[in-house]
Amino acid sequence: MGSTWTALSLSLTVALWATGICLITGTGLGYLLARWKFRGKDIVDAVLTLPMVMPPTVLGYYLLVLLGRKGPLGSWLQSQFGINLIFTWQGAVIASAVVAFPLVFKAARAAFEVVDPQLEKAGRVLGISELAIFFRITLPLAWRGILSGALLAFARSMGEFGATLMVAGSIPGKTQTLSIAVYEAVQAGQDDMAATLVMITSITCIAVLLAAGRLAPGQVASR
Amino acid sequence: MSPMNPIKLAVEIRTTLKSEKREFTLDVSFSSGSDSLVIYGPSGAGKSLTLQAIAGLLTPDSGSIQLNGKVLFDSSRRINLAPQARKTAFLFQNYALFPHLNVQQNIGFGLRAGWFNPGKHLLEEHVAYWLQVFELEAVARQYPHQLSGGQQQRTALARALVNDPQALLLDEPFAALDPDLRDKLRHELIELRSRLRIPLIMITHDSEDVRLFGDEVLEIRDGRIQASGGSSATLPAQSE
Repeated sequence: MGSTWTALSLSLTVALWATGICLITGTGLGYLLARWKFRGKDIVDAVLTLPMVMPPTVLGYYLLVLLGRKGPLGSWLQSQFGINLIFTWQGAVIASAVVAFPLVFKAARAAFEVVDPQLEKAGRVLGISELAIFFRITLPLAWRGILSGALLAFARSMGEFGATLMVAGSIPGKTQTLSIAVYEAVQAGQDDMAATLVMITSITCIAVLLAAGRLAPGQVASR
Repeated sequence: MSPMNPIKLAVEIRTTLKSEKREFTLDVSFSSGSDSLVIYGPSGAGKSLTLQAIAGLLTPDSGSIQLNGKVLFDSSRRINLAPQARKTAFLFQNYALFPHLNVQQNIGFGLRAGWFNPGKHLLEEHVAYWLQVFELEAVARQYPHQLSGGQQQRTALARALVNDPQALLLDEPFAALDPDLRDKLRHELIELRSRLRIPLIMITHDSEDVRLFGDEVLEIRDGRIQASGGSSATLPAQSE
């Protein structure tokens, strides 16, 4: 039973970190694409959305190539900082973040696009700096949409399997997350174990989805 | 009406806007020493672009803009003050009130420069003064969507005036209102103008606004000034 809780806490840790990374990068890039005009914006949008449609194993493969010891980023991290991400829980975080990223990015872009640019103009005429306008007008008005995207990203990270397995493997107590533990339990014929893990995963995901539904724009009064 | 400090406004700008369907060139040049200037013309004539250029919300291709001796924009000298530095007040047509902030937070918005909005319950002295001027004390804690049209406009005016601006720019302030409210708010603005002594620059397509507010009138059509004149006819509504 102890290993079940280890897997759950590992899943939660990985999902929290991955969601945090998605929240920062997805909000930033979502704002950029909602507000800035530049050539090739459609292509950038397509590339950033790609993880949503590609099989996670393919993403995992790309990440292995990129972050592996011989990969361009992996070898640089190793030589500069002595960091190795492959077969670590931090590697699982990266894999989960890449898979879940489009959920936050898409939600953030849509949320920023419905913020009336006139409100930002009003802030400018009132003497407020651009950065303060972002934090005092744009972000608060887009926040609800971004947060519901972040909750979906959290749920997606909790259920991540393919990319995580490729990058971090399945080391019990180290990188074996809940969803991977389910697979291993079934493979080993431990049906009771698998059933317990499945129940825990389901309850967690339903709770997150309920929370996301409550935060969805339009469901709560606009204040 | 007692004399207020007239504004000295000199505008000479050219700008071309292209869209897929048409190309529009704004080429206007005028100066005004009036404290109540109305720029009049049909929609699409370039009034709104002119007003936005004065406030710094639109950068013309070339030309210059001066307000009260201060150069706001001069393409030949590469001067283009940010809207933040122009000290103008702007009343947007739909008021552009911040929907996530209550009335007193909206009014106090321009008073602090930092990254955080004024607190929901914190009532600053300066804000309290403007709540009183506009008779908004009763709705100070309400949000914009809970206000009547008149209260929304008064909140937007208070928010714009709180920083002691050089001039009040009004973008079609009555166009979106139903007729009864329109008349009421026109007279509120006339009363406000005489009480606060703030110079106005208003754009409108409504001849009634010209009659009531146009001490000096510019007519603009297809991006060019057609006619300019002194006070249009008599100004009966001001003689109270």
